[in-house]
Amino acid sequence: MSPVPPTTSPAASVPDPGPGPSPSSAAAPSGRTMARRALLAGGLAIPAAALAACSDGSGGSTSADVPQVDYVQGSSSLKVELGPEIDGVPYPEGYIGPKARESEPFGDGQTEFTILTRTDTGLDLAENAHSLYLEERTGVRIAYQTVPQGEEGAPKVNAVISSGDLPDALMLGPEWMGGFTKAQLYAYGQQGLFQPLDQLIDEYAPQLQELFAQNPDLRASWTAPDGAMYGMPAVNQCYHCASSGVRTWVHQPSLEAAGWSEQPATLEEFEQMLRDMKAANPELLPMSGDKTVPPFGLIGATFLDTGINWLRRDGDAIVYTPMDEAFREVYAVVARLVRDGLLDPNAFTQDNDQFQRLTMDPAGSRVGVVQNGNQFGVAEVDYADPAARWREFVPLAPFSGPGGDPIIPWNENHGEATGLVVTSACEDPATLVRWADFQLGLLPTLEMRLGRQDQHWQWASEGQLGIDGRPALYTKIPGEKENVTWPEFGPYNLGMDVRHGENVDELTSVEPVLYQAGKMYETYRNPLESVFIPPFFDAAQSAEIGELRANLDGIFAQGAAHMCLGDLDPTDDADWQSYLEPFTAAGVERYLEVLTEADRARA
Amino acid sequence: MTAQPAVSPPGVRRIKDPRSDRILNVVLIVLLALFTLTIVYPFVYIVSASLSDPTAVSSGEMWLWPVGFSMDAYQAVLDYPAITRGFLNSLLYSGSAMLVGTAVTVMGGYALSRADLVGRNLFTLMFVLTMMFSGGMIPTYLVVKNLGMLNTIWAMIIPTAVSVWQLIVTRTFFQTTIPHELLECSRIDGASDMRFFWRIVLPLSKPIIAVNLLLYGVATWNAYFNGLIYLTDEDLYPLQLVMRNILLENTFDPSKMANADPERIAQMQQIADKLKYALIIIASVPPLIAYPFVQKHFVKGMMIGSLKG
Repeated sequence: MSPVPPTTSPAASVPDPGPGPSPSSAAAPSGRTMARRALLAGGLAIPAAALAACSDGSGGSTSADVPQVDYVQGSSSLKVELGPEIDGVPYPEGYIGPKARESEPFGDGQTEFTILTRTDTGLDLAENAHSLYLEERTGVRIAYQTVPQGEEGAPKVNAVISSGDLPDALMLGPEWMGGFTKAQLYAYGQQGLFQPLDQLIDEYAPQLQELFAQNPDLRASWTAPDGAMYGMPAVNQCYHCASSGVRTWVHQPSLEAAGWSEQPATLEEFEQMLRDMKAANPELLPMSGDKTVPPFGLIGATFLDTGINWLRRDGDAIVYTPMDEAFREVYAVVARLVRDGLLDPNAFTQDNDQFQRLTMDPAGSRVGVVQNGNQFGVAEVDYADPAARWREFVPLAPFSGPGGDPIIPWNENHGEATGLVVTSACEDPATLVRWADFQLGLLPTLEMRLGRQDQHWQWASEGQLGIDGRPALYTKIPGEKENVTWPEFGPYNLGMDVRHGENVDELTSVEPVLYQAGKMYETYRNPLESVFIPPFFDAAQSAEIGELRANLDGIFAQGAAHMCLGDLDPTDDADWQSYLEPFTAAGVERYLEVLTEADRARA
Repeated sequence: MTAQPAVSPPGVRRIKDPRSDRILNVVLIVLLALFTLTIVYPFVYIVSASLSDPTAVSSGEMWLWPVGFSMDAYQAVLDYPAITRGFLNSLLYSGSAMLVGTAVTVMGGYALSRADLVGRNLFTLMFVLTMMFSGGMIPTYLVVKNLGMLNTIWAMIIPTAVSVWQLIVTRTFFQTTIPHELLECSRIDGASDMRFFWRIVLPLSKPIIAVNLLLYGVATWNAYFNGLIYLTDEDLYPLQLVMRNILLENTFDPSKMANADPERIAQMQQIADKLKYALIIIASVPPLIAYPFVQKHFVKGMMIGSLKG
């Protein structure tokens, strides 16, 4: 679908690449154009860029080959202070995150800033309650312009940027929405289209400073190799997302019908369970899925660390795990399951709609086990019905394999996204930085996500529990909401404790089950030293690996299907070689070389 | 469409078709019926889906006629002010683009059809060139921007007002249907060029005018790209853009949406599921209404115009 390769995915924000097309390639064409231009402009895009500057703000350990910006992070101090804390907020014990604070408007209420952002169904930014809230609290007047979400908006964003007709700021959301990758921020920043914000952040962004203090690695991960930050970040820490790449569900009634009162503890038992399910109900597909999620999660985990985004660190080397020798055994198991009719071969070709017709079959789910990140991919989620089909699926615990405990690739990150970038057209960037910083506070974050306080949400009362089972911080007030919230396109701070502070129950939220599933999987998380966190790529690297990676993903999807569906035999050495060849031909070595290069530069 | 049915008028002795003809007829009828089915079925499916309970649609239970009849989807469509506004915008844009485009095309086509136009070949060449080369998106955007048309109704009408292909068809139509002798007669009777064009040419050109109106109308009705590129004010969005945004918002691959709230993803999908079929129907209504009235001109206008084209 997207011939254009994605301009990378830095900062580990893509837990499960899967073989399919990537929606994050939205602004890719411009990224590539930039790469070319940067090269023409004379070595601006230098490979092996180093990540300068330290998180503690002692600043700029200048790298040898990337010209550094003049300003050294941390060399100014705050000119504005955080407002006093509001009393009576039920922070749970050990709460780390933004606090609810008093605030005074700082804008003059006259000057109008233009911000380019995204459309959303039912969203009218001029009348939106959150837009009005922000204007009231900050005194900053904003005229919003919009482009559609995703790849749809890319031509327009490119036209706006290339025409020089820049708004004051861009608020285009996380990468899945088509927002900027870090490599793009860097490229546009170097061209002078986006302003470096470091000094303003040091002087006018107390909320962000607090966030940096709480997450010492965050500033470094947002600092481009030239030592500058070209955007205000948004934080969306999601505990259960760390394992959503491998999460697997089992249909409890089918499990019980097969005579199993407990979940399988080993791979052998798992296979036996599938067999028993098939024996108990010949109509049942013991395991199925859709093409975006290859069924290698838990089975893969019993043989090897499949890595985050299929990448793993082995000492100094970075490994593309589908080429790992141990993956043969995964294929051997999966191929056996397919051969014995335990794994639905359509799982490699059907889409999620087609798959959900099986789980939503009026006569009962026709699928026993499925891998998917959350319940929405498994069955139709209907909160109104306490006996709804989706509730019959429970998380399947990881099981051990021949080598002992499974290894779950644990993708822990800040869920960072670009919140706001200030363009060169803005004459008063300080005000916009303050405006963005204000939004990183607790109250604006909750207002952005849930609506008005005491109308759509309120502080939790005694006894209410949050997603993680600790006392809750806030609770939603049920009711219709029209045009009161924003999609996640701006700056906000949904740190772990904020996210988990929501009072929920299993009847009306998927979160508690996901949290418990996360706990279950975290037990087997992979060691930190084997986690490869993508470094800050420059535009040239980004374009190169984007293209290479897109090809590799396609080859992986094809090769995996051949292996699993019996066209190739994973136990046969010649077949394994012919599986590996296309990867080599597509440049897997060059791909890993670029990754290693950028990674070394960071160290 | 022009094929005559093989029915003999009453009272005439029926001559038996040769066997091979009958076989051919059967084969053709079957083929055409299948062909028709591939066109009609998706449409019937969408109509039925828009009137069905969404769960019946997603579970595959609904495949031809509505299951669990409800007008909820249409109700929901009307509840979105953006949709009604988009519909009205689209009507305005199509209406204007239709008139502007047709006026320019008919005048331009007539001028190009006159052998005594100075530099006729040069002009034609200049038009044809644009069919093969274009300035590209960003230069065009800059032109529109510098003309001050960004975020105005004009951006929806002017930049793609004339289709060269239609201009050439129109020119050929004039060349083949308006004989030069007619012009000479009129001149002898004292008519000026303007008068000749207005009183003689136009009344003789109804088919090509109808065809142009329809083609421009439908093209603008279906267009979303100009809106996408030139408009940032949602109040000006045409229906197709509103619709595209709603429908495409559920095409994100959830596995890529990293830390996005699963609730929100689901919400986006639900809205799209609920609205998509009704929205498609509503968007197809105006062209469907227009077609029957123009169809009779279609054959005439297009066929003549495309002769020797």
